Amino acid sequence: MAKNILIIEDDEFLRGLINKKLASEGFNMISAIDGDDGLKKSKEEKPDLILLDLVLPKTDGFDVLVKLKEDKTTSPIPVIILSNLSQKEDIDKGIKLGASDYIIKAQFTPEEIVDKVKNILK
Amino acid sequence: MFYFLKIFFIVLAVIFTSAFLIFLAAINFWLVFFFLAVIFFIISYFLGKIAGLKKEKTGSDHLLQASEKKFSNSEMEKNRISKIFVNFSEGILAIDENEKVFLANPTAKKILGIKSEEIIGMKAKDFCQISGAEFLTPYFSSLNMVLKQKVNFKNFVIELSATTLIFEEKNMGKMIILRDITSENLFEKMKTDFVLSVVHQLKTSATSAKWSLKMFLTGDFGKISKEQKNVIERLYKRNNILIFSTDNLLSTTKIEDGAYFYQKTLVDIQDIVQSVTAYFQDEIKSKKIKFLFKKPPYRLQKLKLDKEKIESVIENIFDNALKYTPGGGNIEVSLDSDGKDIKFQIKDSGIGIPDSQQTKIFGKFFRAGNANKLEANGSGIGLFLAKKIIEGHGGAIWFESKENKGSAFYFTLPVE
Repeated sequence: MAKNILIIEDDEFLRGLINKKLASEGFNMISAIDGDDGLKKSKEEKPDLILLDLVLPKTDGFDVLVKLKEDKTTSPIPVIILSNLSQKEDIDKGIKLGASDYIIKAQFTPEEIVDKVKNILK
Repeated sequence: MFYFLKIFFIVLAVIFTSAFLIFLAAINFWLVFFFLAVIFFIISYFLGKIAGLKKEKTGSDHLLQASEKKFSNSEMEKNRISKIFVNFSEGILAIDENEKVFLANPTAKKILGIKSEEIIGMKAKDFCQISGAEFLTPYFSSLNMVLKQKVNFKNFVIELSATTLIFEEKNMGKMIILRDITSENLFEKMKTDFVLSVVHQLKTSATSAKWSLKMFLTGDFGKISKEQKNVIERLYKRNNILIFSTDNLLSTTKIEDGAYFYQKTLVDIQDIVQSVTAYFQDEIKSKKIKFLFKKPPYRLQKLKLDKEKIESVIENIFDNALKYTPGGGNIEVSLDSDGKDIKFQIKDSGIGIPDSQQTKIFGKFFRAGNANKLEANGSGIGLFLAKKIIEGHGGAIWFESKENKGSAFYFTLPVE
């Protein structure tokens, strides 16, 4: 059965590209356009993996991550942070809050992101 | 006869009387003269004494005046110095060898929130407790010099410097300089936040270009022709340079902000050099550069470094060597240690740096004229950052260059 991936990303263009790439690899994609929407869909859809942007409208990515990890129903879902915040403090913070991986968007290609996702879902 | 005798006696008597009178007169004269002389000498002696006294008096007056002048001079000097201290825009706090406060100018009091005058002579420790400035305590006892340390205190952001006052090899206490950088700090933060948000936007755009171009290349949007593929590949590379420059811009802002912290771990610098070399392998091959890496005869000892930052330094100077060396040229990298420092060196047979522009090469946004002609891309930030980073690690960076002959860049990092 196809795995469900929730992408929480406000930039429609980037979201579309990742959706297309992962869908072509056989994943079932769910989109959320801000932090609140992301939290809501995480609980409703129970995805197998979450791709989480950090700079988001309404609830920002770090807060989303904290809430996901607090909630027993969502805490086991692996979260990959997908952000252009490349400062070490941000990366350390993300990992400390329980993210499975931290991808700096500008340094990765869509293929490499697919590899990371597959690796975690193995 | 008797008459004659009588006259003779009278004459004689007159003569004797006269002589006696003359004698008396003479004696009188001399006496008078003697007394006059004595009186004269006595008077002149006293007069002389008085004159002498007078003289002495003016002398002592002079002395008095001079010392008064000196006193007023030193008073003036004191006033002048105290005026300088009072009007100094930096807060100055000095404590003597017994750790008692002996000077605190108004700026220092303002920063530390002290209202009373009675802090002079107070024990430094008590004074810290009263003003709530406990953060100062360690600086009083430590003999180390502190330079421009950022401290948060109440609503102030303070830049603190401390130095030991040593006079003729004797410890005379400490001086602490406090600079209020609150507004500067706020302004810097606003600037950094602005740059951060612009950088983030730029990166989002560059990322969307990177991802879509890559997906064109991997066929996600259908088959593309050979010509299309060629153009997209070049665009993809250009876009990566844009991303690299944006990261540099961010680093520069952070350096200026003073928020450029180094996260040091034990690193083998040879590993860094090798990974950078590997990164540039394709370009070395495509430009047909004769490349040589002279490894040290033995493995160098590991250093405490910020790996990412040092990697970016080597990347930047390596990238310069490649950019400014025409195809078929030479690039030689070497690494060695003299026990005190580890020295990195990269030598190329490139276009070199014109003499007239050599002093500016580490400046921000500077690009040499001949570099601009050869390669339009380049932000002029790479070497500026490299210098900041190497110096931030206690090392030195320099170069030797001759136009049309080539350049050699060196840096050293201390083995602690």
